[in-house]
Amino acid sequence: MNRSARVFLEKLLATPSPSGEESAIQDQCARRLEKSIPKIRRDVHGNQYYPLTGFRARRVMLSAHVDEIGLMVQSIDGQGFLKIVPIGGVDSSTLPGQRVRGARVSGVIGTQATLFRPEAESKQNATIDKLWVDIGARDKKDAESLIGIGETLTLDTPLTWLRNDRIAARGLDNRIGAFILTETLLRLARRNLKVDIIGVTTVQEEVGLRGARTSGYQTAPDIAINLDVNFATDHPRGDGERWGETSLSGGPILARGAGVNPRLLAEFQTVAAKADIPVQVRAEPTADGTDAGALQLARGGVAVMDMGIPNRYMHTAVEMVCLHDVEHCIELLTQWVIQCPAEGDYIIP
Amino acid sequence: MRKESLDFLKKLLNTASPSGFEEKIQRVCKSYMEPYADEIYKDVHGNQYHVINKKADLRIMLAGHVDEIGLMVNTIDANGFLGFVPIGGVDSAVLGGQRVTVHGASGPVPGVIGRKAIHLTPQEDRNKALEVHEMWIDIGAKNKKDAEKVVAIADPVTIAVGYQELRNDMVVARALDDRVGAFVIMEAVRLLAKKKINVAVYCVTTVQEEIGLRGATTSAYGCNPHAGLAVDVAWATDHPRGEGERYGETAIGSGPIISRGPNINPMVHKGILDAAKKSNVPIQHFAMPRGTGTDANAMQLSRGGVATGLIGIPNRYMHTPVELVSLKDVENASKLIATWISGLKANTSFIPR
Repeated sequence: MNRSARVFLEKLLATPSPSGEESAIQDQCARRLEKSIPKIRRDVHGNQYYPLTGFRARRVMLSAHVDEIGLMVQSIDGQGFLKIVPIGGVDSSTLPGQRVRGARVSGVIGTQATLFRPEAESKQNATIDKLWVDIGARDKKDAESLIGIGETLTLDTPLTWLRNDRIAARGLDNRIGAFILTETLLRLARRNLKVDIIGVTTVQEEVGLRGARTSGYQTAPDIAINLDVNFATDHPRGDGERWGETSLSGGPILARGAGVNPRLLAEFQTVAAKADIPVQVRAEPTADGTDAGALQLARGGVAVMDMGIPNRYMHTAVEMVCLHDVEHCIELLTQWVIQCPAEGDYIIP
Repeated sequence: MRKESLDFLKKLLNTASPSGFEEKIQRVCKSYMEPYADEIYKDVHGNQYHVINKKADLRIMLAGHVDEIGLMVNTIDANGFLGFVPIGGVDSAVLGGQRVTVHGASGPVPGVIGRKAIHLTPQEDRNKALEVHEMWIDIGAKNKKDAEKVVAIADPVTIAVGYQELRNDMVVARALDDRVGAFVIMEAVRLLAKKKINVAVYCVTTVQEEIGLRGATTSAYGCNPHAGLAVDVAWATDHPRGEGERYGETAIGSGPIISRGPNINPMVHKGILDAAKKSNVPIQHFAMPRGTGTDANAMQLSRGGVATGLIGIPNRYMHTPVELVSLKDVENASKLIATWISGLKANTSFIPR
């Protein structure tokens, strides 16, 4: 990874982007691409579009959501403690003892001391209504001078570089997908393409694939390739036999099932084999739970592919990915786009 | 509140409008709005549009649903008792012992909801709420044939309670949810009707919200707005066991409740906050970290996306026959919306920055 890409990745991961507040991270993405793609635009929902177009017949959407899960202030009590509710699928068992930050304030997540908890409760995970955020406020008024109802918080955790080009951070889901998207678009911007490409960094995936619904309608693509993290089960208690055996550094995870167009899947497998890129396949027997699921149903239907980045510890403060997988995703997506023909259909034979 | 307005509100609240049966209440809306709207029309789903300043390029949709929760007759037994199923999120714990109106083809039929006497209920079941299928409607029929003279399968049913005033500007009625929201948006249009504004306003009294935001889905597609506000009731937690710390601290009479979160466009949110300052309307805040259960949810996801806001009328005892609101909050909400719309320019952008 070159220096500018690395600096950009660090910036992306340091920018809070809880669902509904993606403007700051969209600004980062726009800055990364504005020299290569002149006509970047944002819609009222917050989705951002990067067109590489020459008005050719076939329109291909490449997408990744930029929002992350987070917390929202529900109420402030008399002593200035903040009661919180989750934005998206937060695992509340990982919250106690974490540092958090909002736009103007830092805090910690407090919980009752183990010693004070009744025996029966001490072995249970804390539910979010039993937790609070302590910003060190003297009282309610003091807290209200720094934060209001409905303001958001994210975990305040750093990016950690581990061995073997593996990194750990919060919200790699799915800022790593957005990173793969921007780096792919940079490579494609220098090429002559046979198809129209519209990159989209979508919003609000974590609260119900919402940005994909509106941006899918606006883009009206023939084909959509969506990037998101997918489970790596190669860790203790991963239960790979049950959930699918997928591993970190094992290459992009291609979904197979009703949510994915089988011709597209075959194309990705062929391109990967030719370019010597390792891939893994994951069985997704029902509707796809990523933005791909919403994109498939846009307007009259879209041929969709779900490309996954292997991710350990999803929805915790220490999500982990391998940068080799990231590079393989960029390469596979770039190669597929370059080889994508100007016409032909994706009707399932 | 102005007498004509209050009369209109009472009329709305005394008109039955269970989801799917909104024709009558739409007629009430139409006759009140005729002097104020430039154009009034209905779509096949039953939504009604009251439009002002249609020629403007920027389109704003206001949504207030006119449907209410209710019951529906699904069986008539040999003895003439009516079995029923809920329309929308009915709290079955409040049904026993209520008077009801069955809306039959030849006119309203009075009845009561019957249940097994508490004395005949085993001790261990006495504290449990009955489920809908354990109750029935008794219209005093002699037998099935007698009942069928006035009632048919799928006739809608509403609880037979009306409007009542309490102390301090507070009123109770069944289904203030959301006839009060529909009232608020129509009053906002009345306030705007004489003024020069830069946007087209589509004030839509939507249908079928209580069974899945259905009318907002079709009407938002139909009028294709750039931005929209939904007005619906919102929980006031200022009562015993309200648990405000957990669910958000909101109170009756303290002003419209402004939601914030992913379902809310930040530019619309800011616009509403500015309008509150300008019009001197007190407001309260509510944290909503996901798609809301209101028309604002369907509106935001319509076509390529709509910049959406949500204004709540503080409401105690939602989905019971004694929903309670403050008329002060209701008037303030209309004023707030009219102020926001008056301040919009032809080139106002709602793209989040």
